[in-house]
Amino acid sequence: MLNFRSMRQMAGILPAGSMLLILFSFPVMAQKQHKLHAGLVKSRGYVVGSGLAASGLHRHDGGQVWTHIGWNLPRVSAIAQDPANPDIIYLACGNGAARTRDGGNFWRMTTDWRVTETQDICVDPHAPQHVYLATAYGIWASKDGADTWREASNGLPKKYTQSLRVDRTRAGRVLAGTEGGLYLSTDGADSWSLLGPPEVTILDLDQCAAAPNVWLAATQDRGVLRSRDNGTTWEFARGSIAHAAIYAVAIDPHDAKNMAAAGWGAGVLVSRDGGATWQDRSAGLPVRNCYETVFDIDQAGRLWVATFEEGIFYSDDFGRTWKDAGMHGAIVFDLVFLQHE
Amino acid sequence: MAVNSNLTFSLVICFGMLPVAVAFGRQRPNRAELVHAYQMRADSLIRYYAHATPAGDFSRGGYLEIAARLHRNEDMPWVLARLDSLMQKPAGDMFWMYPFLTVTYVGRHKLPPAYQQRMREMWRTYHPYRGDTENHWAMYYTALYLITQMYPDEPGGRWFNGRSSQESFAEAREYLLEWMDLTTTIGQGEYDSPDYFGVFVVPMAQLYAWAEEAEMKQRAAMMLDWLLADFAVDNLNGLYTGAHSRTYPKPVKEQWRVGATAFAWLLWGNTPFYPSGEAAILALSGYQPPEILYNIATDRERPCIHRERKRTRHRIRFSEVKNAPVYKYSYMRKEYALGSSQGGLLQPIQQHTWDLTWAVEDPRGKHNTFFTIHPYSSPLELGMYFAEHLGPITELVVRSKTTYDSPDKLTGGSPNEQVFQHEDALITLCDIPPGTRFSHFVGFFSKDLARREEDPSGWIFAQGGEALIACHPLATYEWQKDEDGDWRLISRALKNGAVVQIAPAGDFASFEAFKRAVRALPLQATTRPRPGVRFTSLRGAQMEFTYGEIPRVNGVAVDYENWPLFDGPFLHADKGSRKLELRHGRLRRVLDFNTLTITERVVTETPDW
Repeated sequence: MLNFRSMRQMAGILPAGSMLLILFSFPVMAQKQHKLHAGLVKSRGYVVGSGLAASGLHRHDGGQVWTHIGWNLPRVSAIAQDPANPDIIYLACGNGAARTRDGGNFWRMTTDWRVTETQDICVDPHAPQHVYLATAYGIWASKDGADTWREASNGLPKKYTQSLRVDRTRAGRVLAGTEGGLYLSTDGADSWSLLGPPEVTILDLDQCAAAPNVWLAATQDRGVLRSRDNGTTWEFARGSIAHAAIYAVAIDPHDAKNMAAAGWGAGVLVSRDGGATWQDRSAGLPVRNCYETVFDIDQAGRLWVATFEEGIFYSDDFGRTWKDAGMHGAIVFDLVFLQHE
Repeated sequence: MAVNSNLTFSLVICFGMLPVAVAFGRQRPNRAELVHAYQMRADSLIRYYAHATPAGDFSRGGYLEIAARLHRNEDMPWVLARLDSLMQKPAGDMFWMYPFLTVTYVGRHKLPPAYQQRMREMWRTYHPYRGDTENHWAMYYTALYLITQMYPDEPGGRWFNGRSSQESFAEAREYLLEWMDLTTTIGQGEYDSPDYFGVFVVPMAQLYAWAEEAEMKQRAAMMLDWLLADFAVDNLNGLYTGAHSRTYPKPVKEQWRVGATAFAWLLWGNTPFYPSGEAAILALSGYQPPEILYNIATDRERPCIHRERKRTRHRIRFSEVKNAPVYKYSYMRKEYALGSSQGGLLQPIQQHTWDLTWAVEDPRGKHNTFFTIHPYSSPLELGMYFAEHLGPITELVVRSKTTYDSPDKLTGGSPNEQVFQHEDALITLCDIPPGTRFSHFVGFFSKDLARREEDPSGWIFAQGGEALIACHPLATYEWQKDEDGDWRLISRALKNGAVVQIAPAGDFASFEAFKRAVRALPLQATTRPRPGVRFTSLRGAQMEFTYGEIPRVNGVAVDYENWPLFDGPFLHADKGSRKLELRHGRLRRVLDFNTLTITERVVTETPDW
């Protein structure tokens, strides 16, 4: 099995032009099926200590049908899958970092009391035992598949970290979106150095599968940042998006020119020219408050978006029209395609 | 004698009636009398919970009622029926864990094996959330510690978190020790909360009752003494006075109607009965409060100043420090208590920065308090303490803390508010930037004030009980009456504040004499460019305070750097010391977490008051 992000990551290991070769070289992988998964809380009517409707990891089984998997927890902030063994799934959740090694039957909390307020989790495709965890109190790293963790915030002046991504072109190259800007580690999170504007809070990161040099970053009140040189330099997008609170960004794995951004009050914006211009595509959504967006790995051109408690929607025409995929009343923190047997 | 009153009081409870008030004698009860009186109250509280649901009513009754009946060996059919019902749908996370754990331990030699096995299974199938506050974690890790102690050799597959008994036990133990260390070095995070005080006492009581490890049992006993001493020293006839980290809109007015009251009744009998399951767990634990706590909580014969250092809850954003210091100051006497913190954003949502509480015969239904507030609401405050996106964060908070984003709120800190207290005089200053969501300054004047008069001098004079109140607002204001009949002073100037002087009625021949004395006090106040006050108090102290600067008393800057963990005639602990000395008369009790010892001694020298 291979998940969407893992596939993008593997593509990036080789030169960018080798994507076609990869698809032909691994025909079975190319035919694998993926399922959309969501990390969420059924937030309406819930406060800590009250009854909690089925929350945590959910799998989309078509239409408006979602299946709850594993623990009932009020927060699953992020989901990641081991590219070498898709039975291994990691969750950044309310009680810490959780892991399953059998596709979701048995889960184990891998962190202790030191790790809390987890925000994001990711796996190095070149070294799947290397797992990185973003938390409100800094970054943690594991080199043994989350058996043990070490704090890895050296060089971060402000530890609050919302987003992490491993560069799929190079092992140990990790980007972190923090309260104090965008940071880079080239040594597996042993140390960090400032990469982007320091005065900007970074809330999400994505790297293009088809063209790994292309990155997007979501910012608090400054719209999106984009990079076309594999995260070395960054520029703010212009236009109406420039002052938006963007919570999530996505780049189409089938075409690097297609991008999406979702945020608070900003709704959904799409770009068809690699981030040079952006168009509002929120009409048809029940609210303009959105938490998450992702492009479909199996169905080219399909865009998914999670609104704030008003449901998950998808569009096959880049947001001109939307279809309701259910999950009303939930805050969705992450949408990820995981390879599914 | 007081103890006799308490005994009578407990007997009244036995017959299902709530007492009206507790009468207090002047002579202090001896140790044996205190032990007996406490045990009577503890028994009556447990009995209250055992009988809270009528016999034969199988439709209601929670875990604490089950625990109470198990403790008293009463009505096993009802106990089992209620367990059958409650275990069908566990909910509540750590608020499920602590009562369920109580039943687990109280019933471990009484419940049928089949029920004990089903209860054991719940710890595999129900996954409680650890929560996001220190009280959540104290309850969560205490339960984890004690339940893995009960089942010590089981693999991860037998537990909700996938971790073995040994792993969870070690993790829980480590966290609990870490929390104790933090609390005994730089102070409690959720400090002095009348509402949440109990959910720190509960886990310590459970550890005291059931921890098999001698060290943990000793630590729990010491932490109970520590927490209860912290409450006792701020206690005025059962009320938790002064600045709080967290409280709610109703008890900020009616201070009696809150969970801490139940502990005051149980421990010291100095307030009308107020039931709480948290106090019942302390009663079940077997903990015996030391005599000195009673004396510290009830001896208000001589005025005293008490200082405490606390810390903010963990900050995650928008701050250079994780735990900023909180400097608490209280002036306590039998007629009233005036207590404050330095202001600013010290806790999210529910901070109570300062207040006056005056003594009343019967506090039920009384709003025996006076305070001011700048009502502040901002996603930045919430984002400092919660890891949610800023967009929805206020809406999410308001779902449970309904007044947070209201201009009429009476709780919460403000980054635009600074407070300075010396003895029973206080200066509060506000410098509110234009565009701030709520930019008005509020003074709470209770419906239960005996009088309230506006004086041409600019002072507002009032009286609550035996407390004479003088308040000099720094800017123009208007009056509004609220839904409870209380009056609000509303001032809309951005640069604002007030000077407050309190005095005991007994110090003056009349109210008019008090007014004349206050009018004569030197007072210089300005609001430009920043609010500032120079004031000489009734006790002759020259107080100088300019917004944003360190205040001065008689020309000397207040030494916040060396503010002690506790300091006053009843308690003393240096910052970082892990050592608290309780004092009353010639009696000393020392809680030393460095050596894990509790020592008591009687000193020969005359107490230095």
